[in-house]
Amino acid sequence: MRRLDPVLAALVVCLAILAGLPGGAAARRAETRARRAGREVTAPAWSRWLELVHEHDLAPFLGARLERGDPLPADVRHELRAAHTLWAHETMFRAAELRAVLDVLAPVGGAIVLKGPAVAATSYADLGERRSSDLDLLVRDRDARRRAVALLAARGYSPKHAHDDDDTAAHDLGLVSPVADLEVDLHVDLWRAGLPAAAIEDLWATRRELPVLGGIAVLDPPWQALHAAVHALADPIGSPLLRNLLETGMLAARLGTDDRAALVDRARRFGLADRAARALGLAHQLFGSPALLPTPRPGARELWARQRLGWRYDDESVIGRTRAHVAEYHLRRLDAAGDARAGLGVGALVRTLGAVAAGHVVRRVAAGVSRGEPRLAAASATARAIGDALLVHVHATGDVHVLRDDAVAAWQLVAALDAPAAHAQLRDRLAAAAGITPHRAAAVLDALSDAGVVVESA
Amino acid sequence: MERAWQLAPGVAVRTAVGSVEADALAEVFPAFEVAEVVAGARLATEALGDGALRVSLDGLALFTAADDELAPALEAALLGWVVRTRGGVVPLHASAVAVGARAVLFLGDKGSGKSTLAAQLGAAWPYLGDEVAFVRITDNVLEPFPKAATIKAGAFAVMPASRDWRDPVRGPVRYHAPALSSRAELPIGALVWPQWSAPSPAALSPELAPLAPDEMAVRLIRQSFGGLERDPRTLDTIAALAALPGFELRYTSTAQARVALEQALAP
Repeated sequence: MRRLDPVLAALVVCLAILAGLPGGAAARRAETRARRAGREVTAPAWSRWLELVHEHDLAPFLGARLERGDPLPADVRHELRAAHTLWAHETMFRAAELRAVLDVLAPVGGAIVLKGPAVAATSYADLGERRSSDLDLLVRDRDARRRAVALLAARGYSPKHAHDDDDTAAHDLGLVSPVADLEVDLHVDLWRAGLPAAAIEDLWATRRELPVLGGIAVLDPPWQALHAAVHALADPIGSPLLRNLLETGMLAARLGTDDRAALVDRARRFGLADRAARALGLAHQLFGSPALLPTPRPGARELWARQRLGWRYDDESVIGRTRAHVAEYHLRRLDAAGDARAGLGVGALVRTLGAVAAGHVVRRVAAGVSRGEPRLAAASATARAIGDALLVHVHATGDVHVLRDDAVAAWQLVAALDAPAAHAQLRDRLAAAAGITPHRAAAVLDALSDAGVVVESA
Repeated sequence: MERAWQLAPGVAVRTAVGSVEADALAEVFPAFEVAEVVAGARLATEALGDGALRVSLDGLALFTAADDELAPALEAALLGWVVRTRGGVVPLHASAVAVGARAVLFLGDKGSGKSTLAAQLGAAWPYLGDEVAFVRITDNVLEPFPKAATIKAGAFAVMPASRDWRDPVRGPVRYHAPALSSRAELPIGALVWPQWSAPSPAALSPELAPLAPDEMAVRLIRQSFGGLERDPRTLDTIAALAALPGFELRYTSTAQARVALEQALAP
């Protein structure tokens, strides 16, 4: 393991204690090094510590479990507590909506609750400790999902992306409800790559019924741990990586002897051993949870996960952005190759870096070359007259703008266009229509363009 | 034995008689208690020691809160549930009272005094709710949600004493259910942005300043839950509300505010 950032090590030790895990060697080594260097890990730079907490989406967990006697500054504890409280307020609606959605899905053979709500219900003290963005549900097959989509439409859910329909090849299909402000993801498989049919049969056959919300089905403990382990490193750069690994460790640690044997058996039978072992191994090093499977040679996702745990992650800095670009590019190649170790060599990484840099240069050059006379069109928007003004709601950004005077005339002109028009042409037409100077007309168009009400068109 | 609260179609909870959660719900949602036990979700709490309570819904543990945080936590959780379940309405962050046959909405940022003003006016005018006002999209009529007014620490002195609660986000709060409360649907007559200031020689005299429709529209969007994304018809409702009389009200006492409002809203 690359050296852990000392503040991250302090956070890892704190998480291990709060989760009842023994703490891993990597975290302990970092702590010892910091202590020898005279930097007490127990008193980390709190602003950095808090950044990490938010980056890895751990505020609800810490806000719920930290006690008043902890050595946190009052403002840090208040921030964590507030984050926990705000999320806690969400949980009642989410629990009720989960029950309602499961009732809707009963005619298609029911569903298994995955990820957030399931893990929160089985491995955390309560839902308030673990934020989840969506409701992830596994349905029997694509036919069941097709019928589920139709049933959920009556409850206000529709496909998130217009091209997503019930014939989508994706293993999950996102449905959103604007009123509920919630996404329901309907899965037919646990992974994009797809499990063998025998594995799908196994996880349905071994599912457990939790006696809450009138009975909800979840994966059994070995499948839950396996699912978490394989997903923990799926997006090593953009995900709440530390929370994913903590969760993997918590799920692995609660397995009894038989469940551990079942996890190992299923991982080997269904070809998941290497992917699961990498996350289980990392969780073991960080939190001291059982590794369960022999650790294979490092894969690319694991490499990036280790990199992220070692660097000071700042996605706003040039270095941070470059790292993220390189990682994203590399992982895309990896997915295309379908090989966990693709592109791991030094040469491949250098080529990746070069390709990323070249891509940027080419894009910038291309943008410069093509920058001739911009052609303008109205943004996709809804407009309503309010007195003499016009209220324009831009769909892409969600922004609302109040247009007055010449800006109303400019909007009406652009909105009436059949095709994008050159800036100079619009300027002259606006000047003539509104009785203003061309200079003023150009300024009005530029202001609308800056606001995103009018957009440059290719 | 159970008590039950029906907050909206499909949003109902049951609790044990005499439980701390029943007492908290009775304080926050007195107008929504129903005599018959409905088929709602069962809300319960479990004492964890050190004054901490774990709240659960139908057996599923939701969150922990200190015992003096319970009412604000249930208020926020249930309001969120109601807002995110009700379609066909624009939910606005507002309090409301009835003046004659019309509703007046009080809108504004936290601390502007809208809750306290509605609670105090509720002694004379029917109180229609606090925190959220549901405006029906088809006809722009107010569907009142008369939960008890949430009084923040700055207004404790001017309201009758009641139990102190603590909200980790909003700070100390109390609840006040005005004597006159109504759930009758009413057309909206005016929108008012109050701004209370403490009485002092330097305080400005009460003033009711008309607001331009476009300014009102922008403020209404800012104070709508879910913004314009909830329903494509929201912008039409905002446009219709912005065409109503709208005022900024600066005042130092409820009596002043009442006189100013009566004059402005007189037929």
